[in-house]
Amino acid sequence: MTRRIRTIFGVCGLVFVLLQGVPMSRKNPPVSQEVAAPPQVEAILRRGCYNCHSNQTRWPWYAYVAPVSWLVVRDVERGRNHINFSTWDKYADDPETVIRKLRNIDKVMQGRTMPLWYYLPEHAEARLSDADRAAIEDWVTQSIRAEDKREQVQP
Amino acid sequence: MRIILIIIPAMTRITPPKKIAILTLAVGFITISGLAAGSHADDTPPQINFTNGHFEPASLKIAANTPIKLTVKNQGNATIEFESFELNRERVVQPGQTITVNLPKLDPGQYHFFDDFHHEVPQGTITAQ
Repeated sequence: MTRRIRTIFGVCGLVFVLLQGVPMSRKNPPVSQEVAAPPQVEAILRRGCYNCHSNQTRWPWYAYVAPVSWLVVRDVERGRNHINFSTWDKYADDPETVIRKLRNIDKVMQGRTMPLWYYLPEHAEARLSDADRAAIEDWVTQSIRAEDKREQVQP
Repeated sequence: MRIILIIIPAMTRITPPKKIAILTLAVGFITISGLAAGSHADDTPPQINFTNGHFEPASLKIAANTPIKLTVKNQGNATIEFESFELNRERVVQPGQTITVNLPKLDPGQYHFFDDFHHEVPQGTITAQ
């Protein structure tokens, strides 16, 4: 191997090692309230959605290897920000927010934009069938109706 | 103005002790009126307007540890999405629409909000204190 190639590999190796020193937060905050869903729907949400959209993330080995870990942590943080099935009580004071979150779930189910395509190769169990998506969409429809009723009752 | 023109000459004909009593009552009345007006102003629900592509006010102060009903009014021509990760709120506001966002008791601190449909819009801040 030429000296130049050895130098390049050496520099890359050094950069790789230094990247591991960048601090990343891989925490699972406490669960305050799980979303209420029928057992079948809850099972689908857990295997398909919970890793990014809950406080019960199962961090795989590559979540500890930079730079892939940066993508994982970013996706989990974004996922939790947009919807978090472990802190459903935080939306409850504002029924219209709950309805908006439910409509977003319906939208990504119908558009098949979730789970993210690059998540599936390593997480085959997260692949949702048509029946899975239909079950979630039915649950969303019923939940929106329930929230509408709750909003009418709420002072 | 007319009242002042009537009061001043009248005051010259009143004895000093009575003058002091009248002035004390007047100051007390003005103070109580001011306090009442101030407390009424605090009862006004906080409001954020979306106008000319930005939120007004960009920074809003509210009372901490008190549930609040926040009004958001879209005075623009496009639909916006009032969203805050820290407040756990996400609401679509149509052009011309006014919505009420229920906020729970908030710990003292800063909470950011933004328009998720227009990321170029500067984000705003709600300060609970």
